[in-house]
Amino acid sequence: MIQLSENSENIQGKRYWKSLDDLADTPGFRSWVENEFPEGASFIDGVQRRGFLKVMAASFGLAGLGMTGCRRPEHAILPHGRSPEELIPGVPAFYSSARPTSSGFIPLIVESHEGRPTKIEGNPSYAPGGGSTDIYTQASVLDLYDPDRARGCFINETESKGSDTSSRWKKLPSAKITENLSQLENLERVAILVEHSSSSARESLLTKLQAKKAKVYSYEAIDFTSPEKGLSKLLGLKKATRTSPNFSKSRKVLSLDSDFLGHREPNSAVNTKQFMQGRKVHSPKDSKGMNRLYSVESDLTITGGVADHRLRLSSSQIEGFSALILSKLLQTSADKNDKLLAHLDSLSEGLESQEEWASECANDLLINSKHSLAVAGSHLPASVHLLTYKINQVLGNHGTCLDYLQIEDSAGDLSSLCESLENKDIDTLIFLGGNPVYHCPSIDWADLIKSTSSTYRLGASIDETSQLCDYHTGQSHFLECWDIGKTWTQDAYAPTQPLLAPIFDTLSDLELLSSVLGEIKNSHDIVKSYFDEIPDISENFENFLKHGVSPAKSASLKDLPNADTAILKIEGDQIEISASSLEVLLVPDFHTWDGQFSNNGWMMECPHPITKLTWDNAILISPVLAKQLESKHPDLGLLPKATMLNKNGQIAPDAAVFQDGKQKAPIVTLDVGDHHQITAPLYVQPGLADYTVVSTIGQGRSRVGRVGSGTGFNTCSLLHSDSKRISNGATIKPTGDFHILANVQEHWSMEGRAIVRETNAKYYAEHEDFAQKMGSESHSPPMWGKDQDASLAEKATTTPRGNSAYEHPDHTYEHSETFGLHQWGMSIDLNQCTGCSACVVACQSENNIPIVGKDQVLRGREMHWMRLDRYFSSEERDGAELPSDVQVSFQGVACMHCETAPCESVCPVNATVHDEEGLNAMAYNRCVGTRYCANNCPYKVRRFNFFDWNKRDTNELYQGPIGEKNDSLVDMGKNPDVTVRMRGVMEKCTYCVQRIQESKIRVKVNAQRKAKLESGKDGADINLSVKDLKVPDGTIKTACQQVCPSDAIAFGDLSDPESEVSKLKTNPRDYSVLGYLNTRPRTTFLAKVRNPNPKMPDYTKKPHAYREYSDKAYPADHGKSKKKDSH
Amino acid sequence: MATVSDKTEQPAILAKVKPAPWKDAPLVENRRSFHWVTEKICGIVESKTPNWWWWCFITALCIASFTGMGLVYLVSTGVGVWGNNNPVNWGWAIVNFVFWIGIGHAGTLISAILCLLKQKWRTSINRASEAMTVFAVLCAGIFPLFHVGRVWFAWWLFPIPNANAIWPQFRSPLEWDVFAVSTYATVSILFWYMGMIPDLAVIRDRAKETWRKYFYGVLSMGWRNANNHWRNFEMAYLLLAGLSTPLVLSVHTIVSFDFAVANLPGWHTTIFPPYFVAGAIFSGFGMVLTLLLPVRAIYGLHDLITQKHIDNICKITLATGSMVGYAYSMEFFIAWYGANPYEGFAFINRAFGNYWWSYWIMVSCNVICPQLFWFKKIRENTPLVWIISIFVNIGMWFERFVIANTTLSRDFLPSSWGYYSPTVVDIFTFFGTFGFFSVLFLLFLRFLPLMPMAEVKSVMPQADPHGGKH
Repeated sequence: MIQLSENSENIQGKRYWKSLDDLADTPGFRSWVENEFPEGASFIDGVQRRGFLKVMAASFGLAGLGMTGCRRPEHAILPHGRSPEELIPGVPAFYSSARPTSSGFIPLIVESHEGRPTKIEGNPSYAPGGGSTDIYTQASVLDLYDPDRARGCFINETESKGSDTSSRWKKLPSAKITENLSQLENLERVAILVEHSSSSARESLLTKLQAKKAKVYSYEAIDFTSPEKGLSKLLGLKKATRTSPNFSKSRKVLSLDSDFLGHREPNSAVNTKQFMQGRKVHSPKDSKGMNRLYSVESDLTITGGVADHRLRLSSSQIEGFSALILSKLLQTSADKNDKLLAHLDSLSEGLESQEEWASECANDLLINSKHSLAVAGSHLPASVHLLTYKINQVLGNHGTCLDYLQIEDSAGDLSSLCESLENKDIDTLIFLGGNPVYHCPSIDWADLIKSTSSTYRLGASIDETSQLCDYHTGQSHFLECWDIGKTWTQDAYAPTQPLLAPIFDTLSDLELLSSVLGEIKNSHDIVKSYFDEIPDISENFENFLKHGVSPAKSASLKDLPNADTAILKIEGDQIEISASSLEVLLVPDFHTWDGQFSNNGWMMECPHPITKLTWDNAILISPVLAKQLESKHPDLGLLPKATMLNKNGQIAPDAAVFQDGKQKAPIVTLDVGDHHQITAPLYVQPGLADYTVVSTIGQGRSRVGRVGSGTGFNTCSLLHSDSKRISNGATIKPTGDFHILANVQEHWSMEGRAIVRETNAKYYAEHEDFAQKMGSESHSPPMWGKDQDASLAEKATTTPRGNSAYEHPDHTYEHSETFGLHQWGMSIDLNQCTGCSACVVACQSENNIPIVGKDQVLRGREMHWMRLDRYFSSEERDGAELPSDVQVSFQGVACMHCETAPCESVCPVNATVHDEEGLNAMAYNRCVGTRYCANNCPYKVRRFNFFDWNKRDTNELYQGPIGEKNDSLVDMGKNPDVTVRMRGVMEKCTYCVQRIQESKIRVKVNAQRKAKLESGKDGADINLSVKDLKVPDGTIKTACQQVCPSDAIAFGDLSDPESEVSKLKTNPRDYSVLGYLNTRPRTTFLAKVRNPNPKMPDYTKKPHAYREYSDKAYPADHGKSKKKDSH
Repeated sequence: MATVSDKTEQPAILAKVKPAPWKDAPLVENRRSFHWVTEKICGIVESKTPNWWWWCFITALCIASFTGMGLVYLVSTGVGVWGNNNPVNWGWAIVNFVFWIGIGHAGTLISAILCLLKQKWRTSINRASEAMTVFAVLCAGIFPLFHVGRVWFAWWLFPIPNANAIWPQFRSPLEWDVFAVSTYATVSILFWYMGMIPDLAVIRDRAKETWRKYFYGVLSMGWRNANNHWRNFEMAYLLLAGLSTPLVLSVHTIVSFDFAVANLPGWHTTIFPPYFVAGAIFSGFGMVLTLLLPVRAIYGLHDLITQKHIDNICKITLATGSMVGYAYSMEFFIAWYGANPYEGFAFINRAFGNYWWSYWIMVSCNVICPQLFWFKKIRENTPLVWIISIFVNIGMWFERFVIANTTLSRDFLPSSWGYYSPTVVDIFTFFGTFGFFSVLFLLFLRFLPLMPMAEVKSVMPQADPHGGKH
């Protein structure tokens, strides 16, 4: 499946790899190996920038002596007598690497500035990912500089095991740990509990350990492998069966409670890339080939937001629903199996009201058989996966749209570990990553561990699990160690290559495991020797590192076993779901994943795409349930009292009670059974199944660093021992307390304003320019006068005279010396955006955007330059009622770089000015902070430094000069190309001006070099032509653009009619937000096109947002249009 | 004054009609002598400092220290100590600025415009009003200066030649503010001080203690009561009055541009300049009443500040209050008539949205309250007039709050709607400015002549022995 991108080597100036390969046998190399983890490395404990730079300078110095390895030996501080090869101060280096996750290795390119990794990008050589990444990978670079990392290895000096021992950790050299482990004699009595990983190197070490009788168990709270194992068991297969969908080939997709575009399912970036390609619509012709998504789900996910048809259904009912779909499919097929059909009918009992929806959906899938796809959520029971398997089989999708991969897994599960511990079979217990003590509060860990003689923990920080262990071994960040593993779909190997030596005296999982095997080796040697054993990689290690990926053979299932008998064995449990017996769905937390990002400020502060909550989790309930609770407990204050504006339809009601702009949420206890209980605040979420409540795992950690402490609510007690995440029969009881939630978007409705413009494919096919017909500018007196018909790009880059009587300077290139060579512009395709929010974190990482903490978010001072606005729209707006069924529209909003920018004209000190290439530039040094620009910005994209965010800890902001300064470790991750802003200045998106400048300089240098060679003249005499200085289209990618898995963002030169962005701007779907203000923004949007099926019962002729707009803009036609539009 | 002469020929139709002469109430009551006026005014400055003054002064100083502490905390820590946030980037600071600047309008209006219009009743209230103006402008100046993120660079707003060769941006209304307010402050101080010179000379001449001789001697700049001094004085006074008159209109016009030039719904309206000027005069006269009624009671100035003065001020308040009310309704009309949905929403939101309470406080204080001044009984009830004047001040503060916050908190994109509430630091900093103002006003009462003695004397009956029959 993997295709190596042809251009990967042609990118100017970037280097992806370093290799030690051919030096491996020299004596110099051997001595280098010995110095790999020098004892002295610990002297940089409590790193200072100077010290760090000294060390790095030293390593670069040595690199110049012929060592080209990317980790360099540290000997002494040497000045650069001669500049080391490939190191130009100020010019970043790029290396390939990969991030190991429980859902596969993610191939990466990492940017490094003078030895410090600052930014992670996807590896474009891995075609399915195409250079994009998911949000967690973007944020993971911050963990390297987490001030609360375990800075080395520790021994727990508490006498009694099990009690909280936070202050009793004493530092220990890592060599001592490896030495201890290598001396373990009786490996039979060693148990290792590992977190899930696709690391092949780790797999081989574990196999070796198992061969020596060591016991290996694996555990993951968000277990993606359980449906694989479950499906295999039902089908009678030995190996786990992984479903590997290929969305790029599927034209109709049915998602059964699967958030395949979002964070809840593995491989979301690749899925998004593939799926959203099928939604690119550039002309009415394309709209016919657009794919269609049916989503049946209990929680409102971003996948449900993209869906063309969305059905709210409790997760427990998905089994019945998939049976319904299957039965509809089978009814039309040639060979009817009456027994099977009858069984399916019994399974789908109680879903009569969904019959029409299901049958039309099934018809649509069937029409597109071989090019359709059904996917089921990984939290669903194996029976659903079996039914989904059968659905795909009936549709003949295997081989075209999906593959079944055979996955080896020999590790035992958590319950067998508990059993062994209870039987006192284990002397040494090693926790390798993960945080099982936090995830499984139902297990009495302290008691179980008593029987062991020593417990080791490898973890990034001292957490809940470490507290119970004797030794905590600091885990090297993946940018500090070597590894090799496969992607989720098993189609490629990717190397994890370190960009710097471990900052602290830490170990990687491979190093720890190999020491248990009795070999104290560093991770490079382990990976190198493992690499040499892999039969299916033909290229050498050097080339492997250079590309960062190498195709792998995957074991896919050739002959599909028949599922009929297994389906007949499914016992459909009729579960009662009602207000008094609620269904509880636990999903991984958007912010922390399973808790591992709890101390990552970027993730904690990135608003959840749907709820827009930061820093907290909550129990999500449907508006219907909220209303019932409110009537039972009137003092709950869950839904706000209707105001006059709500009642007369001026604006929709808020979804929550906001007090002074802060969401006041009642805290409730959620009881499941007798002892499973959680306490958390309620959040009313339109779009939820009526009686399903959703909460997230991964918050409310008790032992966590400064960022995550005191955030969120722990829900792990609801997690079943087999990682099952659906519970039933729950009740909600208010505690009478309230919690303040930091919600960054108070209002959910667009209020009929033409902000996100959207329509249906069918309407679009007839009205290509529908977006131009919306908004005040479409029916106000022509403000552009005779230039009314010019394209938006033209309006933005030229100075349309309109009807103005005044003479303006002509800024066109031919007439002005100050007119820039390029005219930058951006186009955001709203049809492509899923709302995954990766751009938000990518921007934060690229532009040194600080986090401000929950308290400041509550005050409305979050700093994100790029934000994702999320709007809901509903079919009917009933006064003050909150709708249950909503359509979701996302809109990424950053500085629009208006040509007639309202911010520029009001700044009294000229701190924000227009540059000749159309950028709305912000001179931080000149800004005095009147904030007038932010007031006057209609898009509200300007961000003010109310405090010294970068200088002080978020808890110390109000202490002013007497407050404590931030840990300097965090400063090392900053991008040196971007100014770190001080308090009192305004900041905003710059279109990544540092990337623009870098490319412009590179192009100019190359052009000069070329001209010099050709003409033989010296620098000053060369006259470079405009053509030579132009940056080729596609060279510059803004951070948000680069990360976007669905390619929703295009950036480039508007003065070049052939550039991608210029072409997009001539598309009739192109429109400016608030165009009537005549701000002439450089960022314009391509209107959204939904693709509903006219035969479906929930079909409406126009999307709800469009109808809301026309009802408000043309109130006279209100009754008429409603009749026309509905059904 | 028009006089009726029997000798002139009457038109036939009016032969039988003989209008009764309009009898103006005297501007100084109880037939007081020139000497009494001098004694009264100088006595305030020359007598022993009364106890109440000390109590008030110390209290005011304490209150003023809130502003001091608030500003120290603000500058050392960051603008974040205030309640401002992203949609509402201005908050109380700008509200307070416009509020104080508005108050500063009555003084110059009384001294300049009423002077040009030959309104004689202005004489007994103009000095105190001018003092009020100067002090209010000082209070106002604090806020735009300190609301900026980096106060230490606030001088960049002044067009000072510098090595960076960067000039201020002359398109920005904030830049216009700098010129408008600083010009206004300069001219007001000049006008106030120059008018005081003859009176300072009187105090100097009566002074017994050495420090007084020097203090008032220096301040009175060698005034000898010479004829050419008076001639120059009156010409200069007239010129300054002429110069200040457009300033009264321009300052608040330009302050209103801070809003009107922005493109936000609810701000971007052409009605703002006249509406702001009317509001400023309204609030200024409100404050004049608030200050002078207690001063009149404490110092027993009933003969100098008569019911006629109070009546006139009340009537101006009523007139400007009604203008403001008209502006409020016209804003709604235009928002509807303009058919811009964003504008329309902005105004409905003002009245019924998240800050509805502030809107209705504003309407009741500014539009409804002053309507009571239609009734003579109410105008004659001094305590009630004073209470109404306080309401006017409150109402005008809320007017600025409504304008600044309702618009910013709910503007174009509903996604960025927010809510603003002030912090303790906001409240205390603002509260402290009343202390600051009071400190200055108390010092003024104690050390400077409260009324222009010569001018007051010139409007007394004795000044015109011929009864205006020349």
